[in-house]
Amino acid sequence: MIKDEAFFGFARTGELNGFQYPGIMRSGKGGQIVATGTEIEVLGEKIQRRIFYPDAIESSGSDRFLTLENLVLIPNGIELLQRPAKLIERIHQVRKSLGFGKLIYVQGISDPYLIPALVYAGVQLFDDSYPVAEGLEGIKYTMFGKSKSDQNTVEENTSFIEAESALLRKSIENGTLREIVEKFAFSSKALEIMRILDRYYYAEMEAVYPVRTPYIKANGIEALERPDLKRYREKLSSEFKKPDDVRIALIMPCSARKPYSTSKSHQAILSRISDFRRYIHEIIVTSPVGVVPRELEDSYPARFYDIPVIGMWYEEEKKMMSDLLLQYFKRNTYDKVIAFIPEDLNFIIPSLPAGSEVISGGASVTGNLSKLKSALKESVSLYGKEKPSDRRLETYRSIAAFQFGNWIRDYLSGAKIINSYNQDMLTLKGNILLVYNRELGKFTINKRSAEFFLEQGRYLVEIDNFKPTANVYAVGVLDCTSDVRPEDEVVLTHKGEIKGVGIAKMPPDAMKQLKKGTAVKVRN
Amino acid sequence: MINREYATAIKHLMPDRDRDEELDKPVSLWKELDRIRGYPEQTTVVIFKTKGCSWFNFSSCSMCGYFNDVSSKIEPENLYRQIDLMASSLSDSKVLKVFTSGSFLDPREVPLEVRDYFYESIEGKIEKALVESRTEYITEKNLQKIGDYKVPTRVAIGLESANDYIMKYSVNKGSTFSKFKESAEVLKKLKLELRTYLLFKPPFISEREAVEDALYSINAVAHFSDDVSVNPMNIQKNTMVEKLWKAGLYRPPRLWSLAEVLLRSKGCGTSVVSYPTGGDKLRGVHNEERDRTLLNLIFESSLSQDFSPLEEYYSRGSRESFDRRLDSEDVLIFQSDYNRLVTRISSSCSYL
Repeated sequence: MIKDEAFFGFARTGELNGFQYPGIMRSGKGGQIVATGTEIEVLGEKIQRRIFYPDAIESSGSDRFLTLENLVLIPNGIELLQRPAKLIERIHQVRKSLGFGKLIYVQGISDPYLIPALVYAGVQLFDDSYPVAEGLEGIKYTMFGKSKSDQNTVEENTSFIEAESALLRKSIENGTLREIVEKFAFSSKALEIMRILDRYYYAEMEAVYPVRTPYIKANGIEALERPDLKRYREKLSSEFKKPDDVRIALIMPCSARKPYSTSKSHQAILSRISDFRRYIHEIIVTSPVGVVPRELEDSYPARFYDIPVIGMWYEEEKKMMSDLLLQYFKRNTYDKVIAFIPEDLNFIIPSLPAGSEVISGGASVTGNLSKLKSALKESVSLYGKEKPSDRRLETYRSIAAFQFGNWIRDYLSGAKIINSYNQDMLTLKGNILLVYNRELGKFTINKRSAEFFLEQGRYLVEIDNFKPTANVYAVGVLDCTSDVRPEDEVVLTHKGEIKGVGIAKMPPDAMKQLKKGTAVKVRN
Repeated sequence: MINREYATAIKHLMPDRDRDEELDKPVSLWKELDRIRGYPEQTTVVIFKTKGCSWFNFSSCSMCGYFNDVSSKIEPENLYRQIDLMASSLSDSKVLKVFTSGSFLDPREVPLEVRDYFYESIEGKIEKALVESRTEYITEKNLQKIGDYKVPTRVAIGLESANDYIMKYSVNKGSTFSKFKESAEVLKKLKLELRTYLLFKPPFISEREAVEDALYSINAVAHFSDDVSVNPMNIQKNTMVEKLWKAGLYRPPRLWSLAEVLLRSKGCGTSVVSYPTGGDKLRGVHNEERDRTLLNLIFESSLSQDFSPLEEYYSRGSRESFDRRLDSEDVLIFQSDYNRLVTRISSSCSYL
């Protein structure tokens, strides 16, 4: 039986019949895939030999994959892989018809420079036919690509893939698989696979992609299309609401240090404008995240990315930032927009609302800092008469609304901030609603606020009638609302009764379909 | 018996144009060695141009490109002239093998009067003829006169495989093993000899399966057959197999495997021969590395039926890589020219 340890999007790691996946199955005696006269045995499951036509022969009637008890076998991987879009489409078809109930084995394609991308695409099982074929030709796998050798390198190659698979399993557990796929880009096909998934399967990928990863190492242009960043940008342009009573926007560049406000460059600016800050809404433009209102700088992804900076941007980055700003200002209107930006960000100017004021910025330009100060002074005197509400509370409400949805604002209107054991909490009439986790930049749900989620039908995992302790396993899950993503805060319920709170560890469909593996990590 | 979709796919590959330049000349005429009378001797081979195999109206066999050599315009007169040309080119051959791009015994392809004329033309010159036919035409009625001709005849049937599943899904033969057996009974009754042709490595099965299929088929037909000829695949134009091969989805068998079939067929009860077409070449049976010696040994041992030189060469050969390659192909359900496809995909990866 499939026993999952961890998920990352469509990738999953765990164990089936003693075999750890994702991994490469060896053929022949003592291996995990064995040919006999009339059968082929894969991890102990038998397949009757049969004729399987390639896609090159259109035959609508025949199966395009073979379904076994615990796995699905796609036989013509090596044909499909010549056009990766075809392979991804086939994998998607399999998942659509069979869900998470079975592991996916694509025969014949275990090229170590493709495996990370294929694992990311949702393939768990590989065989050794590829390293055997290449090894017999004296092609040797190395950490920097293939090299030629006059030896038989079959064993070396197979071990190379085994070691690689072990690292991939670890990265799925750690939530760093996306980085690995981006980093390990020796094969144009590997990049094609990732780009196809990013561009054409975003909705499917987003539905299973974790809401947070340990970090975003955005070294290449591919990072722009990360599902979590795309999700952030979509949410920002379609859901985010600026604080009502602040009428002036200040656009600023990003900084290497996160959160931005702790950086030297931001400190230099902020220290000079501290008198006005309560009247202005600070907005940071950056890549690959896009646009970050100050109140979100502490949460994911804004505080968790790193990018090489040399004072120039790629056209794709410029377009992304410009488009996002346009969207942002469509939903959020200000009386005055001031952009304090270095020259390399001048490309955003056309995306700013008419009448915006641009001051050539950069902390080192002290003269311009005074220019900024006087511009703010004037704007505040014009538009800053109304005394804004408590900005700290608004910041927390904004974080909560971004994390859970705008609906939660209604429940937090009378909330107060208290600090206990060095943790900030939102309370209502002395009851703790949400606890802010500074390290992760997110809120955790409390017993009291769990009711709000139940009332609204959001982030709920319906379980059997038991008292959850450390982990809720998939077998105990009856249902799950479709808004849940791995790493989300969720409320455990049973027939309208709150059973606990925790963190989702699987996509909703996996929770519903699987029997083994941790679905929710319970917080006591 | 027929997989319609597959048959249709094959049909689509067949050109519908005629290549009718030379209606009066056989497609081909040459001499080679064979051992139809039990010893190696010069044998004339002729391929007559006809209207073509009746099966072509519906589809074709996946490996057969003989439809490239037919013409709908062929009339009996053209056949007469082809026969004349053949008869005048026999020199001192005593044995004649006759092929058409279909069945010599199909009266629509070779009308009975043409058949008569054929036999009259070779009378006194040829002491043994071999003619080929699909099973449909091997009936007592159709063959009743064949014993009256002065030339003893061996009938050849392209069974291809004794496995009906392979016949239907791979070869698209439109026939079955039981039809072959019925035909064999008819021939036996008419005291006609039988040569059985087998196709070695039809598409979509692994090479190891192909070896087993050939051996299974040899043993299944041995006691019906005066000899068995194993034809390793050669890639013919406009065929399904060519389409697959070009796409990297088929690899012709290796010489080592063919040698294995011949050596393991020992003791089957009849003589087994193989005269590969296109051997040691890309479109025919070939190893990863060229091996003319092995190919020659296969020819020689087929003719002499002395397999010991082949056996010796086989046992001395180093086949470690070959075995590893075949083992690894054998666990794959989907068969392809794996090395070729691997190379294609590999080219997307940078080298050190």
